[in-house]
Amino acid sequence: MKRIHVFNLAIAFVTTLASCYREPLDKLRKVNGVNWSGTYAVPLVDARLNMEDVTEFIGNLAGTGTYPDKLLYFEYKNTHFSSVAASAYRIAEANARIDFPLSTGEANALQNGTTTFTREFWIQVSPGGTNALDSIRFASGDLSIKLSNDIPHDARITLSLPDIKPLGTAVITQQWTGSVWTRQAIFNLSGSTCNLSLGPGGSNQLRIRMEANYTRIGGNPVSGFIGPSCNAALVTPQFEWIEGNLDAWNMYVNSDSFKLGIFTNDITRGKLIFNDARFKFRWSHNLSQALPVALNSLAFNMQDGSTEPVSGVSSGLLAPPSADPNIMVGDSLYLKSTNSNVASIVKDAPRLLSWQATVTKPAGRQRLYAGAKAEVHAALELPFSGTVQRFTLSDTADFDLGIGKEELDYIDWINLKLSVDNGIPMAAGVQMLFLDANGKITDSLLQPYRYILPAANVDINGNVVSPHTETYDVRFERQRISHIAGAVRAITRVEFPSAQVAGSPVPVKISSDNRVGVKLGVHSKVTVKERF
Amino acid sequence: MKTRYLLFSVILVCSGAIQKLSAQQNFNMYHLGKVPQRNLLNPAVHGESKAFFGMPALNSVYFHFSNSGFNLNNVFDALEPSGQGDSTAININKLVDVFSKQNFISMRLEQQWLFGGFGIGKHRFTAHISDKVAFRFAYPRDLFSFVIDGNGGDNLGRDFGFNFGLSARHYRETGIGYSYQWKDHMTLGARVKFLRGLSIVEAAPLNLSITTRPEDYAWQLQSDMRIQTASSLFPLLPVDSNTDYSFNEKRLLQRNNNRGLGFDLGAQVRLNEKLELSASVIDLGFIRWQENTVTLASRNPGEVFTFDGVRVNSSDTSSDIGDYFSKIGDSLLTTFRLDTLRGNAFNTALDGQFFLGGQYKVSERAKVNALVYGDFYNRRFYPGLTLGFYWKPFRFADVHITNTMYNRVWFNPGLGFSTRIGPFQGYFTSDNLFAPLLLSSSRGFSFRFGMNLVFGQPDKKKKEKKDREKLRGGNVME
Repeated sequence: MKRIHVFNLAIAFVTTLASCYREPLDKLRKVNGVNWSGTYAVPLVDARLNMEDVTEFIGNLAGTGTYPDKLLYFEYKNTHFSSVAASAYRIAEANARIDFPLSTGEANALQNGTTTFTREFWIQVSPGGTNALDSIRFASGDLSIKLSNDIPHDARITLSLPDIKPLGTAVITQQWTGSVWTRQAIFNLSGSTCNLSLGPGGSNQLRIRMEANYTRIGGNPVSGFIGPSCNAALVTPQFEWIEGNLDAWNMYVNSDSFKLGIFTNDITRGKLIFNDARFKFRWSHNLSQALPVALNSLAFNMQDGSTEPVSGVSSGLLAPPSADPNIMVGDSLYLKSTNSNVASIVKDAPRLLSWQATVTKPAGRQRLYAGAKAEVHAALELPFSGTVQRFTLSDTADFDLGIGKEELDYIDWINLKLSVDNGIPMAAGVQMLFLDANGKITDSLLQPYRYILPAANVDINGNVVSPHTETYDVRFERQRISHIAGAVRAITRVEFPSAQVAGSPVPVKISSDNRVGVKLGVHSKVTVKERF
Repeated sequence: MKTRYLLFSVILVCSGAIQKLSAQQNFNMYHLGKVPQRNLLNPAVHGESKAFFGMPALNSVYFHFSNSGFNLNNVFDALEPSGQGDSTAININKLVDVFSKQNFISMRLEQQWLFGGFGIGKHRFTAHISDKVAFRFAYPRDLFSFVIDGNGGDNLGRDFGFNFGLSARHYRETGIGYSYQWKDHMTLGARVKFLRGLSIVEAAPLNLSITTRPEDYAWQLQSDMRIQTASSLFPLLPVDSNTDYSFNEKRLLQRNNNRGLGFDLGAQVRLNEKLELSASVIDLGFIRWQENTVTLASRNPGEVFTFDGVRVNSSDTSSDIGDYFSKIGDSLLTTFRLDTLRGNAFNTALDGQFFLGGQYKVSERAKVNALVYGDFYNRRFYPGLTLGFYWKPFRFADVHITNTMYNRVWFNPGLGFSTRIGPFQGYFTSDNLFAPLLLSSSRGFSFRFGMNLVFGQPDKKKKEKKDREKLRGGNVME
């Protein structure tokens, strides 16, 4: 009896356990999908920028700079250099040939046993024109001298350059024993200083001296030959400096212009008013004499094609002499609202600024170094002091969100959270309009439109009183995400209106101290309902 | 007879109320009548033999695995209509709810190399040598909540605490036990255990928390970590390139300086002919780890690292996003820097457990029993309750059926049995024998088995047998 009970219990137990297998397997077979929903928040960007970073965004329209008082400015600028003196005063290559026949007295002396004599000749060293060089230091160049002799007696001949330092000593000494001979030597002139004023011309001449001693040999004839001869050639001469009475030199004659892209481009709309535009003209040189400088023309071309000359350009500009050839010295002309009409012209958003200038070295006695040059720098500065009236950058481009529609189906919504802390008295607005293949606007980035970055709070003088601090959300529901994903082109508009007081824009100043902080985070809900 | 079946049925019904299965240790073994290995759980309790000697390496082999996280039933709870006939879909979000705040995976392996004992009068002595390997990994529900539910929505501002825990240790235990029977109805026992630590990885705390600020979605991260390791073989964490990591199995057998001491205490009281109570506390003690110790610890525990997004500064000159993330990495490493300490000895406590048992003799061959259990892990107390039915249907065999309620799981049917043929005794016990069968509710399993050579009966048993024969008027051979 007991065993029967045990057996029954065991059967019941095993049956129960078997059902435990069957039931879960049945449940597993019926599973054909996964449902999942998650909500995630991610911080994307924490930007802490000063105004210099912001201006980089429109850096292709103009350069930027900062004044010592930290006021920022847009800038159009260019720098020109003249040629150097080494190019303007190029020393010409030269040749000289001369024969030295024996005089009657020298021939008689040789007839009696021996004769000694000295001969000199000159080779031209000149940059041409009416330049009269007293001296020169060579940076490079060679002097090639070829000596020939046909007197059939023993000879000792010495060749020297007596006016060159440090090459003033004898440079050729030849002992000859009764036959015809030829001798050639090339002298490197680099670093040599030459006195060119000792020749018969009084300038531009380098002296070459020959000293000869002949001793008769037996019954050889003492006549019927030419005597010693000399060929000299100055090859590729370059000077380090030259000194003498030099001609005038028009160092710089040039014209240039600035296309003012900030007023004239395809992507901006609205109006930028700069209250205190300035033109800076600066020149410098490293010559040892004062140079006259002339700004011959300076004028704006306006949007309507007219020309507006800039006033305040004085004549008789002069660059003081430089005491050191390695130091550029100069002066500048600064035109602004107090001494010129440049500021008032710029308020009308001109199209172009053109200018023409000359720099001349006058004639006279002087030392001129090879690297002597002049430099001219011109700049139009547009300080960030003024008003921005719905200044807008606009561009249209192909658009591809890069996410497939299937992937977007998982997204219920996306919420962008922006925390802004703007210390700049300018707002920033961004709007994107999304277009389908037919060019129809399907959606926009911000609905309703608002400034991404509202301007800092300012007083009536445009001074920042306090930064604008705000946190706000931009939410995209599934339908709007779908519209954006389906867009093929997008129009992007960016605007930078200046701060307003009582609804009207006021002139503001923007300095490098003004800072903006932007934090961007994204929050999104994802729902997946996958069926196997 | 009716009472017997009634009790049996009550146990089954009660234990079957909630069908979940977990894995614990030694619940069934505690009241498995004749097996000497009961002594390992309570040094005052012995099998019904005068002397015994366990088969070398086979007298007690114990394995335990459990995952407190979820089982197949939890997956079924997450099913919902998929909208296509009677088909269903798994709602992943519902799976998060099945985890408790802190969950763990545990594994335990005990290999007893030698075990023996004998009794002289009222004195009994035991000795054993065994290797114990224990592994526990704790993981938080927040980890799954963060990944599956996300840090947005209602979870903005919530502090996700990724509080992990890791404990893996291997040590050798040499124990000598003694018990004394006092006034026939009470036995007191104790065991001292000499310990040799072989390897350990102890990570506590191993915490990382992340909070998403609602106002800008910035992530605020905090960490607090301390990982201690030691081994008789080689450093378990990289220290320098000259470290010898070759495995020398002889080191496992040699003495080392990772020494420890442990104690087991127990008592058994027979209140009357039918009711018996017992209590024990085991694994009280510690190991001092001194060989190849390496500790990694947070330099700035609790320091907050805030990630606000990709930082764009005026001073940034590089446009390479790789450089930026490299900077973030550097900043994270600085904030969460771990210092490496080498050669610092440390102590670890054994995983102490206590048992409170009661057994009621229903008949000569049947007993019902109850066992209250408790252990500590990761500063949490894990209690358990076992109800059991012991039955000896044959002279040579007995059976112990139990159900254990432990760690949120109420149905853990256990089965143990032992048999003795002559001096040979074998036994098998499991606290959740049906784990492989209960597919949908299993969270793990454990078992213990072994063989002993047992000799004789305790004097007390002989005396009782003689008394009973006298009462019946039979002849007794002296």
